[in-house]
Amino acid sequence: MEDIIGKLRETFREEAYELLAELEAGLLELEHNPGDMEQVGRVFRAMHTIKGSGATCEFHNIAAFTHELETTFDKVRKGKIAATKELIDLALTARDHIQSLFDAFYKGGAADESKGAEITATLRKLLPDSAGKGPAASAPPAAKSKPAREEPAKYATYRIRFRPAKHIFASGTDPVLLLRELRRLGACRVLAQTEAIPYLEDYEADGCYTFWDVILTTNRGRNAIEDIFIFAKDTSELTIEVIDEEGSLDDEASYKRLGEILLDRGDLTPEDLQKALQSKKKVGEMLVEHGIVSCDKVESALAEQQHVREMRERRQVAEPTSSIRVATDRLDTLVNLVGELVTVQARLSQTALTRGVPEFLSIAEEVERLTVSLRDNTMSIRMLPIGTTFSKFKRAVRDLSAELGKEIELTTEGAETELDKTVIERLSDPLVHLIRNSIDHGIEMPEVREAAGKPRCGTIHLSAVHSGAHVLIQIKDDGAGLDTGAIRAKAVEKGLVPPDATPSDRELFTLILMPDFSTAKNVTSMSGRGVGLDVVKKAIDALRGSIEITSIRDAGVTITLKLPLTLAIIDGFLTKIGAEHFIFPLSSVEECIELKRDTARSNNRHLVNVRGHMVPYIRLREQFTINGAAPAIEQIVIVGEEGRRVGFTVDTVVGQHQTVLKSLGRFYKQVEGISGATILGDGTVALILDLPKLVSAAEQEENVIARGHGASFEQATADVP
Amino acid sequence: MDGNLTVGQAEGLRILLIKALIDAEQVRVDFGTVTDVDLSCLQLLCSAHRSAGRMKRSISLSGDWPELFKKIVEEAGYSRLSGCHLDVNHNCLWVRG
Repeated sequence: MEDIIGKLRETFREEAYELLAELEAGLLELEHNPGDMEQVGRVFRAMHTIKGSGATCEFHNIAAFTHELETTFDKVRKGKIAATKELIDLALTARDHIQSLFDAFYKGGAADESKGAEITATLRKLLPDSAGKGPAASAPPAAKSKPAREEPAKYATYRIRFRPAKHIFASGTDPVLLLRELRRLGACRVLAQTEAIPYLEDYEADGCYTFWDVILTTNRGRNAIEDIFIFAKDTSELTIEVIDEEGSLDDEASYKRLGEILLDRGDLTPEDLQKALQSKKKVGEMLVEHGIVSCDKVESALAEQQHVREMRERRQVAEPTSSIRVATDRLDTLVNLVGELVTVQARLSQTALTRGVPEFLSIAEEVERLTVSLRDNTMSIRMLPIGTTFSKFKRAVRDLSAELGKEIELTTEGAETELDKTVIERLSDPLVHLIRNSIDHGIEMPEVREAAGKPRCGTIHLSAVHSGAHVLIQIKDDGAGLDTGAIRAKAVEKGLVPPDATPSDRELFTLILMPDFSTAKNVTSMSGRGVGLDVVKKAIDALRGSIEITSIRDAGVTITLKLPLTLAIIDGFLTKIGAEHFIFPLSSVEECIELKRDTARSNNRHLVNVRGHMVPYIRLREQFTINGAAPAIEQIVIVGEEGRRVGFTVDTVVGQHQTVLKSLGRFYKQVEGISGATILGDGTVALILDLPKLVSAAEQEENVIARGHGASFEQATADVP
Repeated sequence: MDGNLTVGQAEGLRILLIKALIDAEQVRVDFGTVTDVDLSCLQLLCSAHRSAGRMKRSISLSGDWPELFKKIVEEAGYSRLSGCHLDVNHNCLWVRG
């Protein structure tokens, strides 16, 4: 038994945190639109499931605590209490408490149980009928002997015909109020049947001549409907029929035909239907024309048809394709195996090519095709939408801005953008850091903003978008922007920039990512960026990504993170220098041009003219001190790196290559300019170039030389589009 | 029209509508400052519309309905796509484009 519970708990682990995230997202939405019943429902469902599953897994404390929370939100759902800011604040605190309870079990440590009691007490105070009830009155469900997971009731669609007594007004009941109540139960279509309304001369002032056909979809059951009509039931006619249920057998998007509905309702006899069907016209038109069925009734039947169809369609959308949870390490193993397979496949292709046997070649091609789709498929399994991370930030922004007395709204875009699970996980901290920075130092206090003619409420816009083999993540605030003057002064002080130099904004902004730039003086004397930004840079570098900062004074800062989609396999561009193989990430490569030896000799500035633009290039042969002479015609591979074009000379270009990334051994970790290695088809090792490192190393080298000459590598590249 | 148009005022409204239909060929109902409306008002308007059809007169509602009127029409399920069989002139009050 113990073992089963343990397994259950482990299965529930991931779901628990997902539910907490869902609960948080719902609460934050609700805070924005306090009247949004859909969000109330979402919050309630999340609580309900936490409670139910918690009880199943014998997390009695969690089930009991969540039960209290759920009770309160049930009142909100029923419109008895409002979703005030106070309540939502409390619910968020409660959510955090639930998380700490889960954490205590899953991640070890102890949760502060007294906090739970405190929250529960405050929750009870918020309930309107709290005075009479002691804590014992609401026994948590976990106390039951057999805690069963409570399934939320199924949705069903009801056909309700309500014909109130003619003198219902006299009894003080307004039928419209009853209909209003009915609408609260769920998606509802109300159609008044007015055929009984007499001419003015026969009209009795207090008569009720209308009756109603209502189509209602709810999960509250028949009793909830009957309860509404409890006082009118004796004098009125009320029929309730279930016409559609979740999980019913004919669960297609289509529904009964009009004639069938009318037959069902008793508005039409089978004989009349037969007659109507024989004519060529539409059944509805035909029946109305011949006065067999009133227009009202046909319209009501049509409404039913439409309603059920919509509900069924919605249900089909709501039921996501089934999925299973798989442990990440199994997935990692799969990715590794696919990586190995890709390598072997490369060998197979190469061998087939050298043997030149047509039969063998076609098999190799087939295998290659399959491997590529297997690779893409495997990679896509690891892909997750980045939106889950986004919702986490909403909470951070809300709490932090409140703490600092600032008004900040976080807007997001591209939450559906998919990224490798590992990348997403490792991205979370840097993003939090950057957002905190924006809140802390970017966005000004509301008064300051008003004085500057900006809206009181600052905005941080978080967006993600695919761009080739990369994802661009942008954090954009409309705050004060970076103080270039102050950064420059700091840089001069630190000796990073000579006092007489005029570095570009771009150069300056790069400086704030340096480790030593985060000093206390920064925080007070300027906008304060640079606090720990080196940590962010390190994390992004580790993900083979890059950071770009742009800033406009008083208009805000935009930080763009460029990240690879995946860390496991990339499309590479294979080149050779001497006997060595080097791989460029294909996504960076823009074009290849030839470099003749005499052209190379004539300029020692390492610049080449590409269609009228000067492009600097780096001689990799020299960079990696490879012995031997370069061939008469070398190739320059031009890559786009951080908005600039830089060339790299190689001897020959081999072509595209599926590259399984292997990290270098510990011994080679310190080698600059190489980010990893891969194994080629013939078993040799090819090194993967770390282009940003190579470029910045060359820049630094050039700058040292240029200080004597007055021109810099940076300037040479700056105006290249 | 103004004030409350609820079941308590229904008889008054009924007489007003009869008079209006006798006096004029075209009657237009304007909800100037109506403060409350209930089902009885909707029924009466429906009844007046039927009577007008029989008397070869016409009755229409002013274009801009106050919010509370829109609400009751919606709640009582009166809004519809086509008129009933008594809507001989195809100008049902509750069909809104």
